[in-house]
Amino acid sequence: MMGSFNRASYLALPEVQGFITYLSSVIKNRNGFSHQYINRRSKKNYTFNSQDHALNQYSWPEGKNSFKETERTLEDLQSQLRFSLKQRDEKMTLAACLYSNGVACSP
Amino acid sequence: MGWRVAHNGQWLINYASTQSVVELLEDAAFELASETVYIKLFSRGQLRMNAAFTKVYSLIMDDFLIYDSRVAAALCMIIVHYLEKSAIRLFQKRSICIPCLPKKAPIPLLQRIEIQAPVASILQKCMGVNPATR
Repeated sequence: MMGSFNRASYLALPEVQGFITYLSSVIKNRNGFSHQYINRRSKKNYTFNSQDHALNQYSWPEGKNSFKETERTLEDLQSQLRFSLKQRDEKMTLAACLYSNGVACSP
Repeated sequence: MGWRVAHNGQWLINYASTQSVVELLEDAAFELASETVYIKLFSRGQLRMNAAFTKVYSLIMDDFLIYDSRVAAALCMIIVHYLEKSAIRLFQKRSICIPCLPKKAPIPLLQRIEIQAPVASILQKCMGVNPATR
């Protein structure tokens, strides 16, 4: 395993530059990208052709929280964690980390 | 009070019993934001890097993405599309290959552990209360 990783050198590689351009076009829906899959549990068929199209169908857990709802939860958690770090509060930081780590919070 | 805690949660609780989690996260965020990242710091156990911790780093850093098996699978699929379109031969370009990590030692995925009362009460508050916005 290499010991260090230089950001600028990696991003300057031609194939990485090419991939960044390609990924941008996928996100902006400018290259006709399409994808579909069937959820193993619900058997529901998902089809999408852009990031926006995928986000509109997002739900986690499936059938419950929309992307907006998940985003709000993550924003709250982010505020909590950043506030705890700023205060240098060890217990609050640990608690926020445990929650973001997916500690299933069932006492 | 018993809580269901994944492997990383248990590691964090053990770590917090003797060392500063605040400093651990600050050091990791500083390293990850550097122009040259010393990867060995993460592989030698000084700093922590795995799917769960990328979720923590993504919350404390402005420009850091989570990276778990779902993200890897999605990226691999898009990379394959890109390689097909650009006629680049996959194994000639290792820079955009996503390496596999060594197989993990078997560990119980979830286990019940005892969390000390102060942290447990804070965890409860975390679920519905955000002091930063109060």
